[in-house]
Amino acid sequence: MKKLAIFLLVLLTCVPAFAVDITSTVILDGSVVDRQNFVPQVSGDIWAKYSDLAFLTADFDYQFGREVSKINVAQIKFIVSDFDVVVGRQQIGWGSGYVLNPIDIINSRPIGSVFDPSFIRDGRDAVSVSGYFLGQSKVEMIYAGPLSEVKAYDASTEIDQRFNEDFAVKVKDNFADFDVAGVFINKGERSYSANIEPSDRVLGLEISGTLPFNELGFWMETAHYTETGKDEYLLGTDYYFGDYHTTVEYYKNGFGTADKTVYDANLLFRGRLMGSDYLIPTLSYTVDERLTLTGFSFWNINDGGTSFGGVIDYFYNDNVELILMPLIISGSDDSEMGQQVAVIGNYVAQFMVRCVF
Amino acid sequence: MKKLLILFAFLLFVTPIFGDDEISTKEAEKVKEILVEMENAGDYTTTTGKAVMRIVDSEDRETVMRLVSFEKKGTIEAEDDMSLMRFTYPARLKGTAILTVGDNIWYYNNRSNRVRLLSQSAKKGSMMGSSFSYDDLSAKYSEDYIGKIIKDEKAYYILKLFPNDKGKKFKYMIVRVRKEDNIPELIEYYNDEDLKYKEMKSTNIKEVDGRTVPLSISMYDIEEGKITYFEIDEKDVKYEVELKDDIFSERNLRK
Repeated sequence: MKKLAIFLLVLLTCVPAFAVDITSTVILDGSVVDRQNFVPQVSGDIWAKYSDLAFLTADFDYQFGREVSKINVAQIKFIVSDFDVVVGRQQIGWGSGYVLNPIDIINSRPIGSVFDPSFIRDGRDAVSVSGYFLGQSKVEMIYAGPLSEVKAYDASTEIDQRFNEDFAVKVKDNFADFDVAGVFINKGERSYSANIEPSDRVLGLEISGTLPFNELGFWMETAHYTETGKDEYLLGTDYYFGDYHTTVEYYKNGFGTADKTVYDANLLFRGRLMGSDYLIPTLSYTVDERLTLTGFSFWNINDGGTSFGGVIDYFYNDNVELILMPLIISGSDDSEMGQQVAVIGNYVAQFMVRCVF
Repeated sequence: MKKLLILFAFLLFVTPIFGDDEISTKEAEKVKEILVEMENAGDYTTTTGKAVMRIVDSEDRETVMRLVSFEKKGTIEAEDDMSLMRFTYPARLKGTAILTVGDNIWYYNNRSNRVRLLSQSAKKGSMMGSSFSYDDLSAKYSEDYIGKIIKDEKAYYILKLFPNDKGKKFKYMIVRVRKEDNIPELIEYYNDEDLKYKEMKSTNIKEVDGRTVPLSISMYDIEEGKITYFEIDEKDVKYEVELKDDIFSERNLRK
């Protein structure tokens, strides 16, 4: 993979140098965490895109930072008639949920990443074929190869991730002003250090649109794991009133439990939640085109634990963005949030300067 | 009783009532004809080009965005008007795209690599922080509005238009349409208190490629003191280029 990435980088920058579009992001980031030391760092990424030919595009993204040095994207897309064929490391994001996505299985994003402006989705080595037909019809097929990497979540936590290959099909269309998608995923076994999540076959459904009353936005995602019988689903709604935008999502986690005395902490290593029912309201206020204020809450309905967070996002100019993200975590000692409090404390405040060129 | 019902139905049919604004069927049909002509102003079915969107806030701070756009007007086979806007500047917005097909609007956020179908309430909101709403992108005047001619001047029609969808943010619009080329030179938006809160102007009207078109459209948000200029680059605008329908799909949003 590294050889392919180096080859692509040379191809992108040397051969048609005048046609490569490069976007660089540098982030100066500092976190004040209740029970941990102040952690300043510099991170960012360089994204190169070549799209000067009608039948081919190429993308390359390299991410760097204190704990990170990796290639997220190294792909070539061939555009042939009604089909796009993408080969190489690519970012595959499925689902219309705002905070959580039950059908985003192939290279899912971590919980809460939607509130992190510095987040860049991992890539997955894959071959994907997308067919576009009449109107908004789309058929997507993906073969994602095996994955093996050591992922550093912070200075003291490393997880040895090994994924077997996945195969997935998604069929999407627009009916009566609703986007509707059906999904089948043959998910390979995954191990996260000593934690194993067995292989499974997943059937999924995704619907989004507007409810026929009050102009409320609506979306739902379901994932049924046919081998283990587990179900996940997410229901969401949103509404805009003036410069305010509010969303509410309810998440049912079939992998978790409503009984906090039998929480399985191993689920956290697998990127899953331990509880069964969650409510996630958010409220954003666009002060002007430069300043946005967002507040959110992540509430475990079963054990009462809650986190409250905010994002103050200010564009100083076209290239520099200033972001402040406070987070307060509360919950009893035996609650899901309470277990987080034991590790990091009751509050986190992150300040970020994000420069994009 | 039956006669009374017939008379009542007839009255409903010929005189739709909007508060004090009565509109006869004949007048509604005339206005519809003007609106169809207005939609066909410029006499083109497809266009592509580059544009600049400048947002100037109440403190004179300016934000500039650049984009490429593709537009295809509805045909008998595919009735929906379709448009695609892809932002190219500033770097933080590069790749962000908006697809409109009929009343549906999809928004692609390059940062999250996700496509979202906007809800009806979202369409009333500001497009990319500008004074334009997403609704302004998908307006199909001849189908979405009914109205009357309040002045028939030598060079202009002055129309009062009411949205068929009562959920719109505005109660009515006053539209000044140039008779010589059917271009809506001025559109004023009024709220429930009959106060003007937004104003759209078409300026820099020129002949380009044999068509008379406005190269600058401004939207002034009176409440916020913010004005947005949408300026088309005369050198890069092209008309009647071949645009297949599949250009207006998720495929090109993510390009």
